Amino acid sequence: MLSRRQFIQMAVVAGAAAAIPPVFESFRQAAGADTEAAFFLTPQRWATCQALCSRIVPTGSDPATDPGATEAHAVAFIDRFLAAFELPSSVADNPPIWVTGNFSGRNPTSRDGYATSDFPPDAFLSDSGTGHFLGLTPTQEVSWRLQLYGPDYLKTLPPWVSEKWASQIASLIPVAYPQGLRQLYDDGLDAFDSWSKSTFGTTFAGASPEEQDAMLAVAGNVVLSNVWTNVPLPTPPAPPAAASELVPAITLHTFQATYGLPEYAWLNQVDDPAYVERLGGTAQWRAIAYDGDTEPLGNSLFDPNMYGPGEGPNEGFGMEGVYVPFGGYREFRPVSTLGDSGTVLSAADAEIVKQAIVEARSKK
Amino acid sequence: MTRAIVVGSGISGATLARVLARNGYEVVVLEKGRNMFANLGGSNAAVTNLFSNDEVGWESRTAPINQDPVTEPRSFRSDPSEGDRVFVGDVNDLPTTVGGGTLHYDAKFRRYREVDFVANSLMGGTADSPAIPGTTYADWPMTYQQLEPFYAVSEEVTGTQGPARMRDGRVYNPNPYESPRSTPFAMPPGVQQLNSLLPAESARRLGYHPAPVPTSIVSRPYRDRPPCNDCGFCLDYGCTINAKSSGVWPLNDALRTGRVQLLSGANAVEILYSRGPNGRFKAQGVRYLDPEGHPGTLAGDLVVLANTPIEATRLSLLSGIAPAQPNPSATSGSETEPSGLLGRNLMFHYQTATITIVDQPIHSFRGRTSTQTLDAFAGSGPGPDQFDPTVPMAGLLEIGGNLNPVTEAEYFASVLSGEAHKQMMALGPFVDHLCTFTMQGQDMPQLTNYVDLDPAIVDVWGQPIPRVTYKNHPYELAAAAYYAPKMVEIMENIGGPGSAYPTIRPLFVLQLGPGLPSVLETPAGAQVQENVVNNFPLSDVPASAHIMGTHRMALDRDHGVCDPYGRYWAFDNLYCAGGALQPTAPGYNVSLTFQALSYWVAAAIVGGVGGQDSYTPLEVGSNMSTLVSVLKSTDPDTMIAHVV
Repeated sequence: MLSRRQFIQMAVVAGAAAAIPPVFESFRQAAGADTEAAFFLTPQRWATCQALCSRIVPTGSDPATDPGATEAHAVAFIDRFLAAFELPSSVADNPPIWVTGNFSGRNPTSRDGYATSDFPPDAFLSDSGTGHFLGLTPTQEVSWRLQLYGPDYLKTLPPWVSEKWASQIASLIPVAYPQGLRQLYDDGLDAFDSWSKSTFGTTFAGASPEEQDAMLAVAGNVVLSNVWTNVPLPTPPAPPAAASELVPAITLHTFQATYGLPEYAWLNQVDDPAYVERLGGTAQWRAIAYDGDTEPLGNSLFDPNMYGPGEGPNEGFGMEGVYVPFGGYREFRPVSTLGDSGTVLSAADAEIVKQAIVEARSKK
Repeated sequence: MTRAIVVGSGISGATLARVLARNGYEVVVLEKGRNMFANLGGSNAAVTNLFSNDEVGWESRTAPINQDPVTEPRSFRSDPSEGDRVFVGDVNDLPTTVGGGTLHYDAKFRRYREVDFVANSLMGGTADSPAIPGTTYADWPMTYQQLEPFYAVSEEVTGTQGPARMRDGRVYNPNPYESPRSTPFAMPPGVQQLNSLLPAESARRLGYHPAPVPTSIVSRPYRDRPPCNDCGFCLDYGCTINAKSSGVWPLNDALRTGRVQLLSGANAVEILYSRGPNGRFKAQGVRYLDPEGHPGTLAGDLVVLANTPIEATRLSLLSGIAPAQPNPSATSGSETEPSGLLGRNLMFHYQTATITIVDQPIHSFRGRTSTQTLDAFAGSGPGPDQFDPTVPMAGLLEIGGNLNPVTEAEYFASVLSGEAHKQMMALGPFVDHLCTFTMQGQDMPQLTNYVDLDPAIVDVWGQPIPRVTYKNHPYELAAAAYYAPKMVEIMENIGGPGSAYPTIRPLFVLQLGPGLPSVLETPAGAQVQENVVNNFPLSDVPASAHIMGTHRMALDRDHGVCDPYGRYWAFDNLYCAGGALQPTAPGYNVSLTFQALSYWVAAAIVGGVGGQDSYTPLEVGSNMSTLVSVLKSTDPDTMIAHVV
C-alpha cells in the first residue's frame, strides 16, 4: 500500500513495516471499508452507502484497469465530507471542502522543454495521512455548516450573523438541501434499506447488483439506463421520497470522489501505486483517457533555447529596448495534434451519445 | 499626499491603484473577498497562490473565491409585473477575491472595434433618438482612436499574447476584423489546442478569417512570470503557476510602490459625503464591514468605485446616491444623481452556443479553453467605411471548449446510471470529443434592465441585496437567430476529405441554450421581431460573467450617470471605473476594455482632466495630450510609450 518512493525512504530509515506511523495506519483503515473509522455514518448506513456508490460507478471485471467508486473510496469521501466540521486535526487541518496548495506530486517540474524527475510533495495530503484543506472565511463557514446541518444550525449561528438573514433562509433564500446533507443522507440511506427489504426481502447492501441498479434507476428517474445492453431491469414499486431525494446528492458526491482529485478521499500515491500512477493519475482517469491534474508539468513545455530572438515564431513580436520574447514549446502531451489515447466513437455510439445529450437537456 | 480609496481589487481597481500610486497618491484598496495570494508587494516571481488543478473544488462546488449564493444572494425578475422577484441565489455572480473575476477567466483579451464606439450615429441615431427602437443605444464619449493607447498599455501591463506583429516596419494583424493597432503584441500566441484548430480550419475553408485569440496569459517569460504550460485548467480556475494575467499583477505593481494598502475582507457598505461650497457633493470616505460585521471607516480625498456594475450600483444606492424616480418606465434625477439613470442600462452578452462531437478523441480538456476566435459575426466593420447598418451585430465566436469529467458525469446523471453511465464516461463525448462555439452577442441597453435594492432580502451581514431586473431585447435575439445557422454550417464542415484533418469527422451538431428559429431573413423587421419574441424564453436567470452598464458615461448629465472620465456628475471626487461606464455592450470579451477605461479614468484624475459640467467631443479630444502624457510617464517601459 505504499509508493515505491516511500517504501524505499522508510526502508532506509528503519525497515518498512515498523516505520508505518500509527496515524498512517489509521488513515488506511479509514479510507478503506473499515466502518470502525467512520466519522458520521453508522455501520449499517456505511454499508448501504458503500453499496449505492458501488452501483453509481460500478467496478469492472479487473479493478486495476476498470475501477469504480469502490476503488476511489467514495464512501470515505462522503463520510468525511458529512463530518467536515468534526474531523480530528490528524485527519484534516481544515474542513475538507477545498484542497489547498498547488500540486499533488503526480507530475514533475519541467526544465528547458523536458520533464525532470523532480516530483514535488503532495501538498493536499501529507505522508502521515493528514489532508490539507483551505481555511474557510466566516461566511464560507456559515454557508457550509448550513448546507451540512440544515435548520439545526440556524439555532447556533455566530452572533455577528444577521437575524433577519437567518429568518429568510429557506423561505426567501433557497438552500440546496433544506434539511441539511447529514439528515438527507441518514433518511435517504435508511429509506433505501427499508425499500429494499419490503421489495426484495433484504437490505440494500444484500440485494443483487441488478436489484440495486433497478432501485437506483427508479429512485433517480433515470430513463436510458439499459441503453447499451437493452437488458430489462427488475421493476420495483415506487420509491420512498427520502430515497429519491438522496439520489442527486449521493450521485454527485460519488462522481466527485471517483473522477476528482483522489486526495478528497484521502488517497494519493502513498496508498496504492497500482491505483495512482505518476504522470498517469488515478486508475479512473486512465480508464477514461483523462490526464487529471497536470501541474507543475502541464502539457506544453517551454524551451528557452528553441527559438532565439528574431527567429521563428518570435519574429516581429515585442520591441527592441522594451521587451523581446524568446523560446518556444515542445508538447509533452499532444495539445495541437491528434492524440495519444482515447476512444474513437462509432456511428452507433454517436446515436446514443446524441440521444443522451438531447434527453438530458430536455430534463433540465 | 492625496489619499484615494478604491473599492474593489479586480482588474479595474488594481489598474486604478497602480496608476494613482505610481503618480504619488496614497491608495487604500478595499476588497470584500479573501486573498489567495502570498508575498504580494514584492517581485512577481515571489508571489505564491493557493490554486490547483482541482475540479471538485473549483467547478463542482462553488469555488472558494466566488460569491456565496446563500450568504450573499442576489434576486432576479425579468419584469416588475412578475412581482418583487422570481429567483434568489446566484445571479451573475463573479469571484469576490483579491484580483477579482480575472483570476478565473480564460483571459480572452479583446478590444472593441472603431465602429463599436460610434455605431449609434452610423445607424442614424442621436443621443435623444437612438437608432434601435426600444433601446438607449448611444455613441461612446470617446473614440476607438482615443482609447487605443490605453488598450495597448493595458495589454502590456498585464501581459498579453496575440497574433499581430511587426512586418516590413508596420503592424501586421492576421485578424482582418480588428481595428488598427499602434503596437504589436509583446509575445506570440502559445500552443493552439486541437479543438480550436478544427472549427477554425473549417471556417477558413468557408471564407471566414478566424485567428489566434489575443489572450492575457503569458506565452513567454514576461515581467518575472513563467509562460503558460497549457495545464488544461483555465476557465473557472486560478492559475497555479501565475501565467494567467489577472488583476493581481497590476495590483502587485501598485503594492510595490509602497504607497498602497490592501484591505481584504473589507466590505464597503456606504460612501460618506457632504455638500461642498461649490454646490457639488464631496466624498469624504467609505464605511465598511469586516468579515464578522465589525464596522470601520476610512477617510480619503477621493473615492473610486471599481467593483462590478451590480455592486457599484448597490453601494451607491445604500449611500443615498440614487435617482429620485423608482418607476422603471420613467427616469428622474435627484440632487445626488441628476441623470436618473443610475443602475439602468444593465447589459450582459447574449450567448449562443453550438457544439459538435467529433469521432476522434481530440483531448478537448487540454489547452487554454479557447485559442481561436472568429469575429465575423460581430457585425460589419471594423472601420466606419465598412459599416453596413443592415448587417446584424452579434459578437465574436469563442472556439474551443474544455470540459472535465465530474462535470460530464453530472451532465449525464439525469438520463444514465450504473454501467450505462460508466460506458458513456469511457467514451467521453464532452471530455475528449468536444468542439464548441460560444457567440458573445451584443446586448442592447434598455432603461427597463436595471439594478436596484431588493425590498426585503438581506445578506448575512443584514445589508439589502441587489436585485436584477432584466429582459432581452428583440435585437440581440434576432442577431443570434441570424448567425446560429452559420455557426452550425461551420461545425458541420469540420474535417473530412479535402481538409487539413481528413481523418476527423463531426458526428452531429447541436444548438445548446434556448431554441433558435432556424432561419431569419432580416434582423430588424417587425415580422422577425415578433417571431423571435414568441420563440424565446425571456426570463432565464442571467448567468453571464460579462456585466456592463449601470453607470453610463456621457458628454452631459442628461445622458449618463458619469462624465467621460468616470466622475459622478453631482460630485467633485467620486468616480466609477471599469465596465459600469460602458454605454453599449459590443460583442467581445470585456476585461481589456474595463482595464483600459480604468487606466483612462486614473490618467484623468492624475492629469487633472475633467470636472466640467458638460463636454463636447472636441474638448474630449483636446484633453488627449494630457491623458497620454500621464500614460507615458506612468509606463515609460512599454512599447506604446515609445510610439504614441
